[in-house]
Amino acid sequence: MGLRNIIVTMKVVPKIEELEFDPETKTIKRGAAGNEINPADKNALELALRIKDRYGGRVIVVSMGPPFWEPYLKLAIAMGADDAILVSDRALAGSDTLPTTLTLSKAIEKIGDYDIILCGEESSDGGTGQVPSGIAEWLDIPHVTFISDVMDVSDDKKAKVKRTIKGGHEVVEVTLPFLAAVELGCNTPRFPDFRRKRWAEREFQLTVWSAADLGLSPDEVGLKGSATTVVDLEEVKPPTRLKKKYTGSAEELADKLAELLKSIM
Amino acid sequence: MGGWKGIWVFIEQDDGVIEESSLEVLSRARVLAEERGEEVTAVLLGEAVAGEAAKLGRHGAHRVILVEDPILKYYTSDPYSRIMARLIEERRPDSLILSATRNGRDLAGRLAVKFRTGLIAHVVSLDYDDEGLLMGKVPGFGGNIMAVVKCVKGRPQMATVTPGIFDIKEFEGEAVVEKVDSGLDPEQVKTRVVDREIKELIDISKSERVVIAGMGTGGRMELVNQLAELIGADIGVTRPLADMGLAPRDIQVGSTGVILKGSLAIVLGASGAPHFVSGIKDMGTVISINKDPEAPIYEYSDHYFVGDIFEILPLLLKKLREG
Amino acid sequence: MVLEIDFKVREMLVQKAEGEPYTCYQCGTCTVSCLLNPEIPVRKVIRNIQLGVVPRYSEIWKCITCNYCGAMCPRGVDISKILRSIRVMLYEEKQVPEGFNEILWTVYENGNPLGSSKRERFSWASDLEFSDKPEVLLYTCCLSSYDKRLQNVLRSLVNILQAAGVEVGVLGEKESCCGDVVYHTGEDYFLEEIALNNASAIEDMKPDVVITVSPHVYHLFKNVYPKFGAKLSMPVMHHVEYLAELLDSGRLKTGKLNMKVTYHDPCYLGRYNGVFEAPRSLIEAVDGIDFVEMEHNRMDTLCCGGGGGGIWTENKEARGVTRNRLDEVAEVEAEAMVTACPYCIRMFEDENKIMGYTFPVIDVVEILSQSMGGK
Repeated sequence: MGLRNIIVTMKVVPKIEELEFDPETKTIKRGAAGNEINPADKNALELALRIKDRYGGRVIVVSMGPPFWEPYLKLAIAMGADDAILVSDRALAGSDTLPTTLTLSKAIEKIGDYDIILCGEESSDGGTGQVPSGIAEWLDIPHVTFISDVMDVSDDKKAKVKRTIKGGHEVVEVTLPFLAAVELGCNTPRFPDFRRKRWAEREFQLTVWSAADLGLSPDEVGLKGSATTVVDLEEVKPPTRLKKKYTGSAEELADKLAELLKSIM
Repeated sequence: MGGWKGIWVFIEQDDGVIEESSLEVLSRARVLAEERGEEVTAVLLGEAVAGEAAKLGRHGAHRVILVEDPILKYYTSDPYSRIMARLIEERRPDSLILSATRNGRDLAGRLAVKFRTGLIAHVVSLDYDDEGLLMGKVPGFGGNIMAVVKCVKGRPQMATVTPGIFDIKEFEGEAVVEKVDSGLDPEQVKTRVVDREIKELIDISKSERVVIAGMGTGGRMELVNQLAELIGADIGVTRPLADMGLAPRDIQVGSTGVILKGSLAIVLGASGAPHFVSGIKDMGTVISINKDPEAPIYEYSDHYFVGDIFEILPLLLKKLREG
Repeated sequence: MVLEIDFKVREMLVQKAEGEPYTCYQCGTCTVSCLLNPEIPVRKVIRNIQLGVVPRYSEIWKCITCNYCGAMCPRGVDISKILRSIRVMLYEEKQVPEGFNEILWTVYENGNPLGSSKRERFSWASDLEFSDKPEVLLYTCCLSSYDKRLQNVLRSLVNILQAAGVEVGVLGEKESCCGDVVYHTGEDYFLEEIALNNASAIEDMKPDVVITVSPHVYHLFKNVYPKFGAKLSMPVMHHVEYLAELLDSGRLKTGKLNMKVTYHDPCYLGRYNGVFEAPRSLIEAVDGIDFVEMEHNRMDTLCCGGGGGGIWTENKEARGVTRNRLDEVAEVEAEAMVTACPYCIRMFEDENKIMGYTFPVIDVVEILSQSMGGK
């Protein structure tokens, strides 16, 4: 069977370890940090490409973010995606899960003709994993989260997906079209084809949609459209620990540690 | 039933076994409900779980809504979210709180959109403000920063709670159990579990002693395992090891994994990334071994040994065995 | 086993290997001299190419590219080029082990194969001062920059150079991975991008000479970058070469150290690039040093097992290679194993902990530094 579109949602995230928090102004300085494709989204894209290899279809990446994400979408093209769309609009800034899922679902509807939608299970920058099932609800299609593989897609429009659960995994049968959230690290994302990357950088035309292109009014998105609000940011201070440092030869350290363990156990 | 009232807690079960962190949430909800003069309703969906429903009063439920159907034996999103949506529409709770397990998160995201309502995800604290708005603290950006988030729109107000944050408490009195039909047409169900394989249920959230392997071990677990066995500890790992598939996600320690609550953590070769250290902050004593004399983990350690794990551990094992 | 014949593939391999396969007369010395166990079937690989059989030997990924086989070859075939051509072919066919695939991502996203932050690259140098228009541009190496132990080599080198009155500069945040592991993955398009970027950053600084602490960086700059249109306009030297020149010209004064030491020739400094005497002259310039050679030295040198991407990917087969060399150090009863490569130091030090020999593994620079009263 030939599949219709396989749509992958993608986000660009700052490298967490490079973020700085200013306790005075209570703001996070993102500028200093490098960026990368959200790691779990790369796993989702890899899975989409593998599904395409087996069952056909076009792999289309969709993102909601600022214009500087363009090179990252081109990197997804270099990995093998057929097309990429960036939803970019100042009105979208400050969106929480509700308007984010709304916007992405509108973009997915506009792309249309889809059989499978894959998302990363969560984003590494304070992600909560609530976006995938939220998109599925807007689209009114079934969803499965924390999957590590799409094992089979049958002609009667049903798929079997492998889902991680406590202590193991289960196989869930789901009706097409469906959305699945892909687990971080479940596969090894292919490294971009650098020849394709050069082509993408020179010639690929990224489609950019605004909120209005998706028929969204400013009240539905951004801070206004959000159902939660951040009222404060607090820096987490390390708890008070004894902080006793021990140095010396391995023999001495092992002695001290053995003694210590005996005394507290 | 009137307008939006009361706190609901989704009680997760798997083949009749109650997920413990649901009871943690239930206990917290009871405390909050008493402050507000409201009732706590536990919602339990499963195949044959009436026996379990009866016990929920002990952990804080005033009422239990029980839905039994063979298709509910295991959690899957479609039937569970449809039944929950129907119950919420009919009975209008003010709040719905779930444990932030895989299934809890799966269900919460869907229901929040369904009701166009606010969802505070993965909270480590849960309260109401003076206006009755649900409010929780959410660790962000790897755990360095805590965001205080409020629901400002929609009902029911929703939150998912990080497992291990609240204690399970005992309460007096029995819950009133009300049985409700699932109303499911099996033909219409779009997700179903057709096979499953459980290797071993590993839960280190309540382990007294945990030996945690970080990247410094390179995933070479022999000595780590020996130490754990010798001192009667369980094994945990940091996120990179789980990301690399060298250990199951269930034993990953940190804000995106398990929050430990025992008495002793021995941390081997972990640098101390923010998302990791939030998983050991409640441990009684933290002992670390690290090559780097100034790794961030030092700040989170009671006893910090500067040295090579693979030099120290063999000697330590020898000494412990000698007694 | 089905043999696939494909003359187009042969053409590509022969071109990448610069014609070397056709010089081979199949004596098999290469295979029997392989340091690995099990050995790489080098002779068979070359025969396959000669005949036009597609040589899909996944064992190639275990090759530590020490080129011991090349040194032994009676026909003088540069076998290292042939073996790398196989990697290029396998990479094109996407038959690359996961470890190599992951390391490519790490290099791409972080500018180093360790996954460390770019901003931390020069944390070892926070209290050092550098020149903006230097005589000498020091190009570090990812491993040396981030490895706390190896940072001492960099610091010692800068101190010695500056004490000798040399104006030293570094690229700072513009410095990036040299691409060694990318080279050994066979991803030549990515390597080309790296080479061009690095060369342009170096040219912008206009130093008189570039010096490297890693023989791998040295080899890439000198012999590989030119093939990708990124030939540097100034001389490239390994630090031992530059320091030996300073010694000859009298600018560098060594001190005194009573110690019996031996020297391990790193493959990419010695066998690949013929730098044998400079490190020895530096060591022997130190008063009180008792220098001994190991059984295998210069062209015959053994290997640390870290080349060919081995240090970044789990390469269990290479462990015996590392151990054999450490045994040789013990045999000559040296009090220190001196070498001139960060990979060598890291590999030998790690394995030495398990073997339990007490001699330290140190860089030539550290011998000099210690003789002058430093670390």
